[in-house]
Amino acid sequence: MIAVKDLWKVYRLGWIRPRPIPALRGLSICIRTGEVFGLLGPNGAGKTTTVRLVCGLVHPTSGAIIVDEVPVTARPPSTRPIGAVLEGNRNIYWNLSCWENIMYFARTRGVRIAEARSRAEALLTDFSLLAKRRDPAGSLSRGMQQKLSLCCALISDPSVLLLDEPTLGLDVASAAMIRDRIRDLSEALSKTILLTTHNLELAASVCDRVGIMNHGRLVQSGTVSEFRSLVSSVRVHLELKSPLTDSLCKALRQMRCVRVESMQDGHSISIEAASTEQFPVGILATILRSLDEEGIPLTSVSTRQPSLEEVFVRLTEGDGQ
Amino acid sequence: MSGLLSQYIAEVRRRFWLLKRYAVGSVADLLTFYLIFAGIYLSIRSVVGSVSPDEVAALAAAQIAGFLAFYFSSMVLSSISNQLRQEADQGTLEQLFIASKGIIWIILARLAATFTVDLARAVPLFLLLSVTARNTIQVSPAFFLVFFLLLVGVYGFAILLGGLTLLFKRTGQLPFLFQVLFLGFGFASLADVPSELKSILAVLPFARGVMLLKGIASGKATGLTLLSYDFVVLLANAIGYVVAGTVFFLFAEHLAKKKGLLGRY
Repeated sequence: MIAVKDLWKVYRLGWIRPRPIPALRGLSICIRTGEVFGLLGPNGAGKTTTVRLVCGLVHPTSGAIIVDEVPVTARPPSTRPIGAVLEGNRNIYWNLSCWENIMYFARTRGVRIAEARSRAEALLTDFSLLAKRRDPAGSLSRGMQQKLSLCCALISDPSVLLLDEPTLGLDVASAAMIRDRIRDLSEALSKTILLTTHNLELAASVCDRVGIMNHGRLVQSGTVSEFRSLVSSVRVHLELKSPLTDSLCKALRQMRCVRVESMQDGHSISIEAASTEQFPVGILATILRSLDEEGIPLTSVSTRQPSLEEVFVRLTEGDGQ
Repeated sequence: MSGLLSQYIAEVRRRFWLLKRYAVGSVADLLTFYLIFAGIYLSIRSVVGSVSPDEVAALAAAQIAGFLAFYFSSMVLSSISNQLRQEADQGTLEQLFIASKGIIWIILARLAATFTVDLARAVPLFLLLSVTARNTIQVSPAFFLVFFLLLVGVYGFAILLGGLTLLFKRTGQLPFLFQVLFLGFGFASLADVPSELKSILAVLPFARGVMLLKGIASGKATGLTLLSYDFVVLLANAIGYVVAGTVFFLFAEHLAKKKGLLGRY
């Protein structure tokens, strides 16, 4: 379990006249045991700072971080039940082999040698790296290096795993493999996982809950489906074959629930509502009639739920300081 | 303590893995040290001119002792600072902070591991030096004690430089600058410097220790006891650097975490 309570972090950059840079502004999150929680947000939102604070790599300005019922600063790093993979494949010694890397980190974390050997065998097998155990980490593909980083983080069998951009720079197959492993770790081994990502597809597929951060604050948190319903649960999308006239475009943009977007050959119109009952059928009828009168044919009509990406953009756009 | 031992074993194993993997580089490092010694020693011999065989033997013994002290000190000076910088660049430093009992334990384990590996490499180097100088050194309990205190002081200084690296990431040629200085101390005769300079040398790392070491090796410092002035100053110097280095490193670690310097913000 990870509980972050009213966490503030203000960096002071520079030595002579330090410039305050607020990175976190009263962040509070509770991640249950065995849950995968994804932190999303634009660059500079405070995601990585949050992970580094939970790791103990950065001291908070104020607030509390509790991991498995104990404040994170109350015990030395080696006894914290935390494993972390930060910045993907940058967490391993490239001039050591896979086996040497895992055994080195096992020793560093105080894992007994016999136990470390059996765990290392099991991890290398699980992550399909056994055949590469004697190869230097630098000679592996980026995906394999990422897997090796995960093996090193898991060698002490931590209950909490922190993953900063776990699929950054990976090809589709490697990203899918990492995604599957994250789900396995949560479901089969009840690991509590906090991950940061820009990959909304990853967040939608592995996270039990996601939180969207912007300007150091948690803008919203909930399940992926809750997020979708938060923005809109019903949307009718019309694609037009030719552009709208200026007057019609202006009139449509003034209508409630209507968004008009320019496309390559014309325009698209979206009508959204929070629920089916609230859907403005009258507005749709008016739009269709106007299009017919102007002689603008439709290319397609579709109804769909907004993607997580659209939710993300909506929640972070215009969220000021 | 078991954590420190475990970390020490991990560090020694890592060093030997790397020595084995990059065997050519390891031999080249050793040869470089030998060639530096041979070049400087032979230059000094040619400058000194005709002296008695006893004086030649004393000079050779002093130069071997000074160079061995430089070898051990030089390796540790560059290793702590450079390793911290390299690990910060490659991202493993953060893992060490997350995983270990505290980075200071890792640094201590690394110092001990560096000494172990350097000691293993010093055996062939010592033989080569002795063959080149056609002499060897007189080792005694006093020699080992002074050598130990000299290294303790240098290790404390290396920890201090490590703290600077944590804060400023790039310390440039600072470790190299001290390596050059130590090389000078290793070969120069510090016994004859003016008394004003002697008091400065007393507070520097390495200088006082290497002066005593060369005296013992050449048989000139026979009256050294645990209560003698030179020994007490060396002891104070060693303790001072270890305490100052450790305190500064812990302060630097705290400040680095506060300012977010361990990350890449």
